[in-house]
Amino acid sequence: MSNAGGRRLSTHGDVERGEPIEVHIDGRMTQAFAGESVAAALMAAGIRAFRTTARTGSPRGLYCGMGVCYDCLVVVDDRPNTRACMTYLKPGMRIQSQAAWGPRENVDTTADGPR
Amino acid sequence: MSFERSADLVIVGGGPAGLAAAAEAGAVGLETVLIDERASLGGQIYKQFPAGFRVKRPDRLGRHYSDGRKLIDAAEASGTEIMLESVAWGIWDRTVAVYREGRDAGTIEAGQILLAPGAYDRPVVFPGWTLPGVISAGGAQALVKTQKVIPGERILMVGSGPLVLAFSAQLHQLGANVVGVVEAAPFPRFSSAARIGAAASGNVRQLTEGVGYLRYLRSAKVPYVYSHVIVRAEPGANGEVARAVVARVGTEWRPIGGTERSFDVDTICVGYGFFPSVELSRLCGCAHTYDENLGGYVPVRDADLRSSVPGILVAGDGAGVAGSAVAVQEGRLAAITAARDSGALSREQAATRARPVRAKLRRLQRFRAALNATYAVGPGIYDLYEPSTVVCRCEEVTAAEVLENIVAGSADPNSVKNVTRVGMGQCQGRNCARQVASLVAGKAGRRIDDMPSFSARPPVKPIPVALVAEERPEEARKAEVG
Amino acid sequence: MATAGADTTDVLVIGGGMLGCATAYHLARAGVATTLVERDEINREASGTNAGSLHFQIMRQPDYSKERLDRIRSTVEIHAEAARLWSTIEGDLGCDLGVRLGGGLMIAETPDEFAALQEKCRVERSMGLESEILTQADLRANYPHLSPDLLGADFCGDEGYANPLLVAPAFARGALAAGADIRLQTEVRNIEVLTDGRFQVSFPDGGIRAKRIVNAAGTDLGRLSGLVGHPIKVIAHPLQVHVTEPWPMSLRQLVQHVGRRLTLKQTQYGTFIIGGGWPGRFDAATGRKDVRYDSVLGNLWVAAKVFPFLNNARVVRSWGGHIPITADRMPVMGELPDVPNFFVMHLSAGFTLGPIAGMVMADLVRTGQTSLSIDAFRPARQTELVT
Repeated sequence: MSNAGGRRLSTHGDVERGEPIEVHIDGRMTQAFAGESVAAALMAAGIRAFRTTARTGSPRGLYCGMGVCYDCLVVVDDRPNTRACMTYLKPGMRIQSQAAWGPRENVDTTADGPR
Repeated sequence: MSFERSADLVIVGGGPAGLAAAAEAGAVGLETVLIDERASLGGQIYKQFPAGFRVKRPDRLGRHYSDGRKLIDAAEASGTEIMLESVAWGIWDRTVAVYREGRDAGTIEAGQILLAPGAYDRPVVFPGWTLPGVISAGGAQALVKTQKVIPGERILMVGSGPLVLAFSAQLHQLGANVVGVVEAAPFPRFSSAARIGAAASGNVRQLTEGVGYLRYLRSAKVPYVYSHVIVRAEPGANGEVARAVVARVGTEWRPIGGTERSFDVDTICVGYGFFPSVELSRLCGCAHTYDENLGGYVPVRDADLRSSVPGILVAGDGAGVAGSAVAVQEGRLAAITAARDSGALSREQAATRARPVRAKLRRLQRFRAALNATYAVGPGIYDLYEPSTVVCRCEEVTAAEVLENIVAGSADPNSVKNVTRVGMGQCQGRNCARQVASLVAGKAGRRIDDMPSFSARPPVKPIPVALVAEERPEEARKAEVG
Repeated sequence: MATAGADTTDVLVIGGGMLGCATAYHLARAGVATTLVERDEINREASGTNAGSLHFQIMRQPDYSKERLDRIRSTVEIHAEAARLWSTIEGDLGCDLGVRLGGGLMIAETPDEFAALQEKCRVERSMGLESEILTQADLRANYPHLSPDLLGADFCGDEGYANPLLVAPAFARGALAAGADIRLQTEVRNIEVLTDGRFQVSFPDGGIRAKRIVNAAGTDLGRLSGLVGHPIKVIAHPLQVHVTEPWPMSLRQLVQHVGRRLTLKQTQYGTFIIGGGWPGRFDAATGRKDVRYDSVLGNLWVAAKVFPFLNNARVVRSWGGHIPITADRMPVMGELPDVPNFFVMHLSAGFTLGPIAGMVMADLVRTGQTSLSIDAFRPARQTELVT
């Protein structure tokens, strides 16, 4: 995953974030908050490219934000093809970039490589 | 392992239409089940903070929060059984097939079904639209409002319509660095302003809100550009958005050569309206018509919101994008119709109950009609692609591949879908169907609504095998030859 | 290179599925003036809506009576040629057709089923088919992703799958490139046999005069043959197929079940296709092939039982198709005995045998001879199949 924009806003006390929890992002322990979606936690950590595609290896991230586009796919607790925007954090959750249809290390994802 | 329920009324969707319908249905004594795929009610516009967040000062969270809470509270108090994280994946006659995320699957036998599935952001196909950093306006709004996270450090809003104005101002107010707003429509002329104003009686709040948003953006010195559309998103070294290029357009939204200007941004929020989610209404066999300004295909309904299929009603943005105020009234009206058709209300009782609802709808619809005229979608929005632009995000199929695989004489997008895989990915064609239809229609010399769409089949959302699979008796195998 | 005219042609091929397109391809490449007419669009019926399985082992039979064995034996040669052709077809057509010939496993879960597999394998080997029985231990050792509870399998190395969405269109493109004329949205309304033996064929607007006709019209085959006095009963059995999202490759064989309806494969795109002939529903009013709820649940259940990894997957799409079947489920290929130059071709195993059938039919039409025997498929025996 690459690093770019995206961060948490102050809530000005109108609403409080959930309790702080720790999750793992690509193996790195990261501070986040209960109530956040995986997508929000990734964006807040400055990560906007969640996966690379099967055919061309292109980076993709959050697009529709409501669960219909299936672009924000990541590997959560070893489960690939998980929508980051529809999945909410649990303490200790392991989040990994997805490469094609599996975690990044598992790069042989089609019978003969990309089409 | 599977459940079987029944109810007088099954409401699919817990946004404004569904919530209002649930409250009304409960009030008139219909046994009702409401299902929604999310973990909390409110749909998109009234999306709530997820569990974990604690609301401290609800009075400072804006109108959407308070309106949404009122609707949700009323629905929750109505006696309706509410099934969250539940997805209606198919409908056979009046049997609604549902799975509950992480739990189980089953069916609900419905006396009647109200589809209130809402809408999703219009996917606009332009070079670079798949880059990280290009985000739908709705997605950006949800992220900022209900997660308190901004999607980037320098945000350009591109789009058209009153929601673009509202989103931009709200985003900026919440602390996002909105560096510009690019509106496709021209600067509102006196005649269109007057038309909106005239239709605004009864919609004063919406109108003054709009004026307020403009004033806010002006005072915050956020550049507001009219008559321009996005034509390209360019990546930086990190492979994400680094620049947005826009161009001047005419009334058809076709970029005029030599007018490009660029913004150095890392985020482009795209807000060119919405498409109604018509997958379920199409699956049920409801008749549809095509109206570009309502978001494309919309189910045909009578004055009481019945679809063309007996027992199926449709309310809210899922029947044509008209906003939350209309959705709430339609939800109420549909529930009243369902009650009348089930015998829970007499014809007179239903008419009396519906009268104020219809009056409100008439006022709202005048306002919407005026808005639609001002912000009519230009056909050029479907011609922003270049040959190398990915049209199908899921399967990464380019416009050039689609065009070269449209067989001479073909007038059916399903044919090019079959050979190129457009529309076969996990979004089930939501992001590419309209653009593919445009490409096929162009070559065939046909109108969009003069061709089939991608075939409507269950499941309308991807279904987990583990939850849905269940043993079923097999017919005796017929002997077959090898 | 001969080309077809607007209102006359040498061979009129009726039907734009696999059989029609493959036949038109071979005819056109041999220099025959060929016109193909299709009432809708290419490859939208049986050959475009099946699950893409290439079956070379025999289906389980209720008994192995002489009559059944003779019927099976009569299709051995064409199947063997089909297997050879599938291994070269992508090179022949110059394009990717998703062909994967990693072998097929027909599995057994119960002792009865395993016994049925063993009997079936004996019959196959007696007919020269190279199949072999794998035991539970073999399966556990070599196919760890299959359920460990399977008792065994009949393995046939020739089997595999291809992408039914790509094959007929590839033949159609090749036919066009070789000078064939292809007309979509063109339905045959009437066929008149003229005094000189040619055919006057009429469409809703227009018509064509042809020296020879190949009726490859699938479920419409019976009606068209009836127009020249030789109706043949073909019934369409609706079926449905389901496909998952893509996953890293873990299955390279075609999986089938001797006791239940199942085919399972993983495509080059990583998606799993789950079929096996679970019944769909044909809506006579709309002409739509609908998907039945019970068949979704039942098909997925069998598939996940045999290949438990599928419990991680989601089904993204399903579609309805059909398999066109004559009363004895045998191929029909040949010239109508009482209507010279009118050829019919029909297969229920239309995907597996499609390419070879097209090649054979083109030879028959052109030369009157075929390199392999299709005598058992001749239409003359179809008197008992008349509507």
